[in-house]
Amino acid sequence: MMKQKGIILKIKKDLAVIMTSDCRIISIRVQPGMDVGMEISFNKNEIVHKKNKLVLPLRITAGVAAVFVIIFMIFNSPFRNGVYAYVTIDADASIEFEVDKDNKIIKVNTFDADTNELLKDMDLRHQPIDVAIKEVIEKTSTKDSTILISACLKENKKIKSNDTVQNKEFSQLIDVCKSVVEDDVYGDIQSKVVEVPYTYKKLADSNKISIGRSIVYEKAKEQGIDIEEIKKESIGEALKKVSIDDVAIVHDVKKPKKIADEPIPKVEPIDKTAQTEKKDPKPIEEPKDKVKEAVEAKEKQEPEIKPDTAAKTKPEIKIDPEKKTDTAVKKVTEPKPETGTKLEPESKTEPKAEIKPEIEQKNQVDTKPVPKSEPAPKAEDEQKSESEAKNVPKAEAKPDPEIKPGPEPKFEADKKLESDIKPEPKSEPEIKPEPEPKPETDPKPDAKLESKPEPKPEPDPKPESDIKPDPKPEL
Amino acid sequence: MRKQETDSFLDIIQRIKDGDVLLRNKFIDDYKPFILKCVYKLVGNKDNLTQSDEYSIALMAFNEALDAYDSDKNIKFISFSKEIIRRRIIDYIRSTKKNNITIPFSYFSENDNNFEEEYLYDVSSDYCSYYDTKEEIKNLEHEMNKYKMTIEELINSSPKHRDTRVLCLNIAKIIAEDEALFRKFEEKKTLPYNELQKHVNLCRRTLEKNRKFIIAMVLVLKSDLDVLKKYIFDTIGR
Repeated sequence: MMKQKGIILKIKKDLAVIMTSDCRIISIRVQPGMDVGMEISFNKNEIVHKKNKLVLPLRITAGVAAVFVIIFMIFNSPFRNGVYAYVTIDADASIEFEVDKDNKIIKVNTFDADTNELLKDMDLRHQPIDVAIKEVIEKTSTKDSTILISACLKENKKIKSNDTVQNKEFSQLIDVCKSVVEDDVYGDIQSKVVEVPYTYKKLADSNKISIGRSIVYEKAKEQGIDIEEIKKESIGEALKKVSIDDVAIVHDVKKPKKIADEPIPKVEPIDKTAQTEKKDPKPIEEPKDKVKEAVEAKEKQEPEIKPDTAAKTKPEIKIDPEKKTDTAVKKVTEPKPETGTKLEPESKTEPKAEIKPEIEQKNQVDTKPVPKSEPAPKAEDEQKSESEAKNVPKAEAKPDPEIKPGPEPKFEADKKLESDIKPEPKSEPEIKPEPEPKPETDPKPDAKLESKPEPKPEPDPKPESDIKPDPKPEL
Repeated sequence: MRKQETDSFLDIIQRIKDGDVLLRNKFIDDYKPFILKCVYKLVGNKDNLTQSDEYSIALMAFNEALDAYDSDKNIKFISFSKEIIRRRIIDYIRSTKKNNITIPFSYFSENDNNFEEEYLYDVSSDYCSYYDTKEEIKNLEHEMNKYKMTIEELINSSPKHRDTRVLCLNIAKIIAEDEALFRKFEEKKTLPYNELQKHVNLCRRTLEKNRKFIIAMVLVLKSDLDVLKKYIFDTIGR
């Protein structure tokens, strides 16, 4: 305890300037009662060094700044720089891209020295994935005619709530991959685009092989094919032996042969919508589908005209079918991003969709329709119960049941695909008969609606017309 | 262990206890906001808190706390005085509860003088010396400003080592005692380096470095600040 004495020379804010008995001039913190000219005794550790006074706030600001930086990094990193998905290309060489949300490449991984050599003179970083895939195909494809592109979403524990958004973005990524392979001009390359769950990525990481190969090996194990044998072969040969189609969602892109790619939907309802979305932008590969659409459209338009001419007294109902067909046609023909926005208005029109089938049923009961049309209303009932039970806004299910045949027949086709892949083309004709009866049945009740029960529908159509105008501008 | 009051604070309290009435008044004056806060917490927002009886009671209680405070008891003065104020005010409220009609003390006094000025007045303290030193220090600061320096600057520019300090003080003493040097010093408003080199064998740089401190010391020696002068001579002599 070093006691010192001094005289206060000046008081400035909370500091008192003191000249001590040994002729030093120092400053201490002001205490109540202190005044200029006062002689006071104090302890040495009370002395406030001016430097300290400056350092203290500096430390605080530094700390605050550090905290801000940390917060900034935490909130920014997963959205900006984080790896969002993995895309691997398996030809004779295996390359893995780590891709961010904008489908730009963050990192390129290779699995052996040869591919490393191959990629030496390529700078793929920060390039969009489609450009990179093209470049890689340019380099490699001359030797091998089959390319397996596998994509997998990085699982993020934090962001699980917005599954639909992620799915949409991921499907975009898949689309990009597919379009690249489709567009390429390097001869008869056969390629497959596979969506796989994250577990395969983990598996592949632990074995230090690419995702695509790990899938093939996995499947080979399941199907009792010798892995050692496959390991020596190229991916193309391996794929011939091992069917990987039940792994996940496989998109076949085989250019020369026009085998329609019927994506195998998972049981998840969201995926289903995603695939129907994917289906839409490629009308060239689905000539049959197009015909179907055309037929549907025609058949829908026919009843449209009928009520126009026959029943002029009821404008409310007239508006109804017109719009219906409009939206139906649009949905089939319009590109995918549009359908994404459609999800909302569809959910709005739910009540309308529920009312509709009821009327139709009533009419059918009244008139006892042709036996041919019976299966269709049943299917509609099923859809209704499904939609009511799930409450999930299935994309195209509710507002226009005419489109339903799209996803529905797939299920059947899938079952067959799972058992054996080869009869893919066969499955198509089977799909045909189902959608056909539907359009037949649909126009009938519609026509009946307008022609026969005049007093009945009037209270009902009004709410329809009230609701309808809302979704239209949004579309 | 709780943080102790600083020595300078204890020194002030001790001096108040020893009977420095002037310091006591100043001390209470500095603590008025605190006392007002204590009263407010207990009484609430009255119309005129500074004129209320409770405030007067609190001031008296604070004064009492100053006398009763014992630094060895390991309690902070603030919490100690707060407790005393609280008790006194509660006592007062209880005693006046029975007869609700209480007329504030201030009603009777016609002049608006402060409570402590009237009742804590003490003639015994020597105001003169106190105000003298205060005035002298003001003068000193004023002089320093002429040399383009302030007291705060001295905190950092005063030499840390005892040897240099004694050296500087010696130089200051030479300047203050030598008529010719001091005149030069006043004219140029800086140290007479060239002339000084005749007196002391020192390089110019050391002088330049401690210029401010030497100037301040010269001014102190030329002033009437006896206590500070004593400090300087004590330091040189030792």
